[in-house]
Amino acid sequence: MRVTKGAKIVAGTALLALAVAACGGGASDSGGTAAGGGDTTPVRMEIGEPQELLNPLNTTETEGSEVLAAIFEPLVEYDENKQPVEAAAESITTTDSKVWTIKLKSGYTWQDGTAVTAADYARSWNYGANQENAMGASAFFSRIDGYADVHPGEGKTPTSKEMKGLKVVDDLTLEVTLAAPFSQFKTMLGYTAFYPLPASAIGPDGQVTQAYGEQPIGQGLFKMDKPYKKGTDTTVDLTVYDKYPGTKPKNWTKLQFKVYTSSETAFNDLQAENLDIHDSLPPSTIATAKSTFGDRYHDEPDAAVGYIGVPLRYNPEFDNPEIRKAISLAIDRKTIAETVFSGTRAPADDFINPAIPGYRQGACTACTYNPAEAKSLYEKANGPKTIELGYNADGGHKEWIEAVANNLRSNLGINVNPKPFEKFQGILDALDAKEYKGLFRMGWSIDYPSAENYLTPIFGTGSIGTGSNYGGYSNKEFDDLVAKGDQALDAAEGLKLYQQADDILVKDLPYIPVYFYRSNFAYSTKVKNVTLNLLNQVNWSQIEKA
Amino acid sequence: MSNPTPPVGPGLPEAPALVTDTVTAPAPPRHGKKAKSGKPASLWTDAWYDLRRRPMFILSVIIILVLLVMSFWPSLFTAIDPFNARTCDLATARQAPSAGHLFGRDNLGCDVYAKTIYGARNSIVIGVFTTLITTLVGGLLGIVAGYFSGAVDAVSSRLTEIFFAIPPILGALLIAATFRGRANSILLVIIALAVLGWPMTFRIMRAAVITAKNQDFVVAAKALGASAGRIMFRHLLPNSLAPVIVVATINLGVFIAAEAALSFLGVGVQSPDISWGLMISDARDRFLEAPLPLVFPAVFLSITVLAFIMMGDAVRDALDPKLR
Amino acid sequence: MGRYVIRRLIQAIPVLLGATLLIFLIVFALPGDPIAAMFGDKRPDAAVAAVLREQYHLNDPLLVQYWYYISGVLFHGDFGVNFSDIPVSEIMAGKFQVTLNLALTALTMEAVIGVGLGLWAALRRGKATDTMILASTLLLISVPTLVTGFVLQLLLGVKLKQWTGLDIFPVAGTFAGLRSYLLPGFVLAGTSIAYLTRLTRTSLAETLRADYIRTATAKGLSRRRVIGRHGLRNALIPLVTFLGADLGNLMGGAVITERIFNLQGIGNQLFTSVYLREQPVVVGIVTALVLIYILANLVVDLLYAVLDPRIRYE
Repeated sequence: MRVTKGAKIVAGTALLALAVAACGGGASDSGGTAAGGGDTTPVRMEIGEPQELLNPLNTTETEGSEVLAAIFEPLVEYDENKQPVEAAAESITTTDSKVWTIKLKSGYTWQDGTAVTAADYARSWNYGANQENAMGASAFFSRIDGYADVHPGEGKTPTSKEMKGLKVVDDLTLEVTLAAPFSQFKTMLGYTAFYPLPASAIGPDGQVTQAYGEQPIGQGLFKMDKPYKKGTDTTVDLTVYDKYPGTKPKNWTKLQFKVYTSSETAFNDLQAENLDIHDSLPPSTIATAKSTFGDRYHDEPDAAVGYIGVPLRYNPEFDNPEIRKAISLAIDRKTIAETVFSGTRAPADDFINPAIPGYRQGACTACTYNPAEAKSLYEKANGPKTIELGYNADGGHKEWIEAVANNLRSNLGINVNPKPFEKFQGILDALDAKEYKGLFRMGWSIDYPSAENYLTPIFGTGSIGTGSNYGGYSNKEFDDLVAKGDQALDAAEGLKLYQQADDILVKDLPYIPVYFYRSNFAYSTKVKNVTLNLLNQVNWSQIEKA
Repeated sequence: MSNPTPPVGPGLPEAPALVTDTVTAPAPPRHGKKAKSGKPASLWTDAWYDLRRRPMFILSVIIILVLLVMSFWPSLFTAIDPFNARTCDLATARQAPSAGHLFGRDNLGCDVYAKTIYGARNSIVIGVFTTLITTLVGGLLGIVAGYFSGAVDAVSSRLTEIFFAIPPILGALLIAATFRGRANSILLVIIALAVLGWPMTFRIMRAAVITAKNQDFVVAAKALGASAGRIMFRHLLPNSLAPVIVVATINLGVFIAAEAALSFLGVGVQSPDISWGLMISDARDRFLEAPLPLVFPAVFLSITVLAFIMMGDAVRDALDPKLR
Repeated sequence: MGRYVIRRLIQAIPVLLGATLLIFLIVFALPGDPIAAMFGDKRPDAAVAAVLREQYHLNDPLLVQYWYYISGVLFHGDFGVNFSDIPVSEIMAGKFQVTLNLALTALTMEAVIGVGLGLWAALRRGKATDTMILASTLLLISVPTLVTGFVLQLLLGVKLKQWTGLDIFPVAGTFAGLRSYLLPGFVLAGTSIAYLTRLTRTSLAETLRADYIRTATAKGLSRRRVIGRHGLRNALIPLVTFLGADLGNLMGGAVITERIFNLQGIGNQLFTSVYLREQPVVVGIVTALVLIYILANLVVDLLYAVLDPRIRYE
């Protein structure tokens, strides 16, 4: 009798297994193949999983920024000439690059219907700057006068909740006083951190609420249909906000971000037309993308740069600029860009990226490939016989670091030991702790599209310790030129001074630029007119459904 | 004997499935086994007599011998030194096999064949040392726990339960990730695998010792006043060794596969050291474009694991008294 | 029976505490600052990092942190939040579903293929079919998941489509619904299929040698009836328990399969979280897996009592 029972249980388990698997499979197929045509099918865009809740003040990574850019209208956008032009702002003016008057366009409303005011901006920025709120983007407000009061540093308590440099003149006018003149301030304002938050975002405890972070209310083109629950949801669904005063897309209203953890999988979906736009094509798909997508494949400059960092402050072995020059000359950037990256990177030849005004082609003469000269220079300068090459293992850097290591080994005849660290931060900690003193990989993606952003934060003396000057390069002449550029009264004059500062870097090679990123994107036959802005975010209003 | 015997009994240690299922390839017909001199054949001579007649055993021994030679003298098999950067040429990355480069080139333009040959060493080293450590530690604790029973046994058995409850690959991943960069990567893999691997040997040794403990000769030795140490190592150990040896041989293969898995996850062997798992990991991004740099190390890995498991299988059949 | 269950549950407590504490200690020994890890290549603002560390109790002694954690899990079923304030249980829920689907698909394949092959081999014992089946189980056990995964992905996921135009097995991801789990399910089940085949074969062979089978045969029952009614049903007992215990193993061992096929299950999540130093997520996932393991084993032991009349729990 009991034997019979046993047999039944087996059959039962198997059936149960099938049933559960079946319904689970259906559930995870969210946002799969929707039937084509009609306004109600969304335009589907690939993103990676946003790291944080969707709060502009705490979002410093690209995936969350991509979503927020659809929900919010920035103060400025960037035109074809890469210059900032007013978007949510009516005008942004200054006479001395220190006091800036921001006039808002009337007509913008929060997606809950209330009007957007200058006070919303002031409140958000004060919240974001306050160190007690621990917002990831707090440093963006550091140029505003009074930042030190709300963000005095580790171990100290803010003496104020408001920055004295922010003054609400009337409902639509905000006056911003900077601590020191900064000619690029207007350019900064297009960044995610400067989006305003409505009063309702902040809960009774004075913190931005979890509910807001799951379904932020913005003043931009799209409104979220429902909260995005990270972990369970695989899509972020949005609809055009009907009271949006700017240009709306011509023949569609629904937008869907599909969350992928593998860009290869996303590419398969794009090929199967289960996805409409994919803007982070990995190297392994480029050959296929070029041949199958034709005109629907695009390759544009991206503002990020990849370097080999030199630990000048930590290791005197690299003091001699000739050694750095020899290392630079020994790197075959072109082959690395073509083979390792399949064209998703371009060989670097300046410290300023081609995507940004101020780039000069071939400015870095030591960035060419010349193994013979490299070897003789290196020997003459008596460079170290063994060098280490640190990289963080979490970011897909291994292959190009290995390729660089092979270049240095065979062209300079030295030992090169690539050394993986868990995180980029691990390299910095090891440098600080004097446990590691080798070269290291470094990447820089801009915070705002200005040439200055490639200089001060990475190479300025003031950025040692607090900013991103990890190598510890310090050059007074360079610092002075950048400072002069900051104080310039117009952008063009500033740019000239920045380029002079760039000339010093090209000569000194405090870091060795290796590649510029490219933005590789492709789209399905269901959409057309897909373009990216300077921050690599899609210009949604221009897209048409085919 | 009750029939059928459940492989996992309530409260009994759960033995690994490999050992509990006793049947493998049908044993070759037994030729009248005769002890050569009038003495009765021991379990070991009998087993050896039996093994020499098993084609599976002979095949696995040949493969393992070739692998050993490969790991000691890789230059016998290839003229290319994969540690020399000049043998790599980035411009030829992912090139198809050719006369000079039998297995083609990998993503960095290095010779896949040479790397595959040189990769054998780390697999063998990791497999052998992990097995040695787990067998020594697990075996020793197993004897002690099995002999003393009581509190010692209870504590050590609970301890192994804790380790059994942690999924092995995830546990090893955590340990290897935690200490990565602080120790030699190969040593780290050995430690991570050993930490998760010893409880299995422990259980088998303990079970074998408990069985042996109640046999007459042990009871007699005890009655004659033999010390605990003497009983454990003179009497219990030799009589409980067979299942441990079987598990050790099979585990050698399992550990080699686990090393590849860890290296694939990025926490195992680190470049510039070469390992098959690492090669698989490096080739995966371009796998659909250029499968060969992944397929060759994968094939070598599979053959190696297969050889050890085949050997373990054959040894078990030879040692298993149930089949006699 | 009831007392036995209670005793087993009490015995499970030290195992659960021990395993989670062990994981907790390992995870919190992971080098690298989880707060810094949130900032990628940029140096975190010192003041912001300090506030976050305070908020997530990162400055407290480890055992205190462990207490915060385990008391939350045990008394409130609360697995805590990650460093972006997202509840870990929320992060795990969706991923568990994927892994569970995968494990159940694998389990079904095991049951069908493993038992089927085992039966076939047992009935053809000593013949060529038997040898073939045994040889292939050896192969299934020996070839690592890492290899079967990639090879099947290439052959069935890509080449099959290229050569025949049939799109049966998606290459990766779960966007094709149930079909997405077929290939990874088989890869995950591989070793277990082989074990189950061998176990079925042995178990049935032993059963068929038993006295009552001989009696049944002697009574003149047909071979089909003897095997089907008497042999198979008794032989099934160890198989059912093997399957039960295997569910936990499959769920905990899916990381390689999930990585190869890009399934967003707990293995993949754990891998990511180890890299992101998201300690609460890592501990949460492992704790959940340990719980599953303990429960699965308990259920298996109890199943014995139900299936095998000779075993009684007092």
